[in-house]
Amino acid sequence: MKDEAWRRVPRLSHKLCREMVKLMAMTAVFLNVDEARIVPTLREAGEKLDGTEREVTLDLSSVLRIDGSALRAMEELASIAEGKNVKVNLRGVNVEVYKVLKLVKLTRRFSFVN
Amino acid sequence: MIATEKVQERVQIPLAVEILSAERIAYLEGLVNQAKTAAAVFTQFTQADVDRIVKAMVLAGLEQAQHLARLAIEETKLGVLEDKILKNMVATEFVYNYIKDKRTVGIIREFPERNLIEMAEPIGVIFSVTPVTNPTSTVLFKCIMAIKTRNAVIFSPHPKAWHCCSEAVRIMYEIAVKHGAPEGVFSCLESPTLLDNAFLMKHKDVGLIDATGVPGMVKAAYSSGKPALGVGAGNTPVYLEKTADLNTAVVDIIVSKTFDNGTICASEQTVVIDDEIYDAALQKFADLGAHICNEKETKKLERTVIDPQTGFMQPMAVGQKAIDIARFAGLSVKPHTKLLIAPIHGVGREHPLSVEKLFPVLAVYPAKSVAEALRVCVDVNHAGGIGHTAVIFSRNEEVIRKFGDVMNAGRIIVNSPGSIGALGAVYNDLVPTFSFGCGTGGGNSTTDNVNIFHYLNIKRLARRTQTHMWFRIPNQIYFNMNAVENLRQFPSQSTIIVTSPLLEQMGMVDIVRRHICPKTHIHVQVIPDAEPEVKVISQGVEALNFYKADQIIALGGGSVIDAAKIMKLKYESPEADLEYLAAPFLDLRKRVVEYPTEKVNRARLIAMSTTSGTGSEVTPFAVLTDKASGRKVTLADYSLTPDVAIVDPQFVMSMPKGLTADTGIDCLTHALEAGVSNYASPYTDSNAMQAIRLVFKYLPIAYEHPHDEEARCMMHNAACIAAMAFSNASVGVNHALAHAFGARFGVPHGRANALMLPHVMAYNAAVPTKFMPSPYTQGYVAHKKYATVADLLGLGGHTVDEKVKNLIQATEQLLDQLGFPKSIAELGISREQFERAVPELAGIAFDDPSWRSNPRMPLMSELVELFWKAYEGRGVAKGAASQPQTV
Repeated sequence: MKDEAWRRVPRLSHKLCREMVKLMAMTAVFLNVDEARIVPTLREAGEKLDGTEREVTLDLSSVLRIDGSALRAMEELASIAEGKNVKVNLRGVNVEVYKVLKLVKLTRRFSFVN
Repeated sequence: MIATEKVQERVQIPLAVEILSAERIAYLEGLVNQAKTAAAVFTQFTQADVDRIVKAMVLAGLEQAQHLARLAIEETKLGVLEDKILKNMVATEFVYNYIKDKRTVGIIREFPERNLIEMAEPIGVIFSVTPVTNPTSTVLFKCIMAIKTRNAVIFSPHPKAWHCCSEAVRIMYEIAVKHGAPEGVFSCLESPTLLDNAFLMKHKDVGLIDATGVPGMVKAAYSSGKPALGVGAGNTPVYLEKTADLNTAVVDIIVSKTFDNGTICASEQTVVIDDEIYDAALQKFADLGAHICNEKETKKLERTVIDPQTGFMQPMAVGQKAIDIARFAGLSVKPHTKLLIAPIHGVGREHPLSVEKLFPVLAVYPAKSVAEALRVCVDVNHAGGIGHTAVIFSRNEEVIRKFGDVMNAGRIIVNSPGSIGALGAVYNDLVPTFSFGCGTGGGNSTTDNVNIFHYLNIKRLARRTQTHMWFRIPNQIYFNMNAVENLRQFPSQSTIIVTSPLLEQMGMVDIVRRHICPKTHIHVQVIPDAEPEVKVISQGVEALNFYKADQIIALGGGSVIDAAKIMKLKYESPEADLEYLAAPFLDLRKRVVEYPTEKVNRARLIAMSTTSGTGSEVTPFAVLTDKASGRKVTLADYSLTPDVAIVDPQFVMSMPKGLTADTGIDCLTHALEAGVSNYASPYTDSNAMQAIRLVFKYLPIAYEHPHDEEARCMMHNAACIAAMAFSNASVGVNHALAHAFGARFGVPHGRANALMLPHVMAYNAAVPTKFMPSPYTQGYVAHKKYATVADLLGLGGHTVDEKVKNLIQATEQLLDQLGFPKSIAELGISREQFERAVPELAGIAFDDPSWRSNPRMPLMSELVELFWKAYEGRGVAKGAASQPQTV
């Protein structure tokens, strides 16, 4: 029974898979955020959102703390992304920084990935 | 209360949003957003970070103390420059001294012995209202507290002190940010208005309102619906008692009342002086620069400094010098007069000077006795000063404590100046502050000196504690055939043997008598072999008294031993109220009632059971029936446990088959219930398991072959061992059901237990509908413990479910073997009769304390279901309860 059910599941061809991977690569921007350059990096990310990308991922693994100017830059980035319908993923956010984003109600404007 | 504050009270907070302009709202929102962001960023700071910033701020505050004091004096025209400088220094240096080693980030306190850790969580945004009387010192104090606790503050200074306060905020902010504090951590409202305050007090992102000094604002803060620290007006009574050191007292009062021209709200207002020292005290005041007003001058003063309409002080007098006030009032005083003293003859509206006076005018009142003095102080305390501060000068400890008792004041200052004393850390060990909590009497949430801990949410990390458990049994237990011989080792002058008529007829008493120490006077107290009654107990106690007994030997079943326990209790403590001692309880060790420890007489209780079931010889329980009231009283306390138990099987060799079966199953139920009890421990488990093993092995033999000595001996031991288990682990639902059912239908206890047992085992082994809270156990283990029993009995099975099923089956087979009825129906109880009884039975069973330690919390509906299962009859294949679905 299990085998029959499995056979009925529509599956993607290898060709289609390759196309999708290519498309994903085209629609995503990845940026590493260095703690010493948070604000410029976030601004740069905002500028890259020209509407062709569907998703931007910022890696904050090396960011241990953020300050008020970084928060403002993140808010600006969130506004730009929302205006252009682009999803912003934040990767590697430590819990202290996450709590700051939570307190200023920014978490709802980003997606968090591990 | 200052006149302008009445206007503030009239401002309705909800109106603020409607009245404020859009620009003003945007401005206020901007301040809040900035503070919110700063507070959020601040959460990432470490203790070292905040301590570094705080130290820099304190140093800056000290450096700027004079500058800020000058600004305050110039702007407010209140107080004394030198004192304002001191206040600024206290607000920085003294406060720093108190907080420097305090932890305010992460773990702030640990209580390893309680498995508790306290951790700090900042509040976020604090909205702070500051007063005109202590403007810059209050700002410095609050800035330092806020940084130490990682909070952001929006200040709204009193409009008449705005410039000096905003300068203080600026200085603190710049130094804090320079040393790493988040931008926007402090702000000061530009041109603050009452509407601004109302708006911010209601703002969703403001976490706490800290309103100091202005009663209207304090009230508004508490009315806002936000958590608030509102501290306000006082009216400090002082009792100058005749034993006081007069020189010290007078100087202290002058120091305090003239400090910053009396602007500190904790300063002395009315001094009640014992008659004996009244004249001397006034003379001392006069010698040290006070002007004592005569009656005419007092009237002039009243008219000048107190508003006749409101009864409150005139704002123009606040913080002014004594000579200036004298000039306004038209009094002629010496040029360097420090203080104006006005005798009053009562407290209240008819005595205007008995209210709060934030200027160097002091009322004095001569008291003819301590009682009168205390009464007047209470009057002053209640005339606007509830919860604030009170002062006493005395060397009479009794009077000091009495004063402390009758004053409703957060700070009761003894033999020191009121205002500086209340500020803390100078004259005493109070926490240094510039905000005095006045408790509920003052409409405040605290009586504390407001400090850093009020700027924190303190979280408590509470780990599961390993609860202390216990295992209590008689001091000595003698067992096996002829154990009665051990009676010889207990010397006694006078022994009472409590027993039943049947046992006496059977010659058992003679066996006992033979083994009691020679020369002992022996009296036999024969009582009916039934649950003991009050009358029987009284007769027994009379005999104990008559023979001055020093030893009681209880020979009999559970009822006889219970009777002996209660006789001993009443003999040793005649005042013991049995009804009171029978009060309900949840945990035997935490009982509200206390059993008597003082004893008039002392007697050793030796218990010898003549049945193999109840185990009463080692239990701390006793049941008594009051025929007159028709009530049954259950006593439970470890002090009831017999001193010695003798478990001699020769007394059970002649037990009839039915009694052997009933008591044997009672013993098995004790062991099984103790085994799965929430109070079970390795100590009780070892007893419970051994008892179960012995019952399964020897009960059928004792039943079929009553003269088998080994079987009788082992069953007798099993009953005692099971009782040791349930004395410490308690029983469970089975007993609750059996008690209710047995009493209602007159079914012997063991038989009633037998009818319920397989169903209750299946019930306890299944996934509970409702878990019983229990700190003693980890996870749900009843089914696993049944499985362990099955293993011990060698019943086979691979899974827990199989083993539980095998144990239930083995129990049912044992019951069949012993000839127990399979169902309640077999007893001849009709379905209709049972149906009528069940709801009430379930209620009674639910009230029975026996199930409190049951692993599964029974719902009323489940008790009903269990009763019906017992009615329908046992059989593993019957019903869901017999088909355990284990956790």
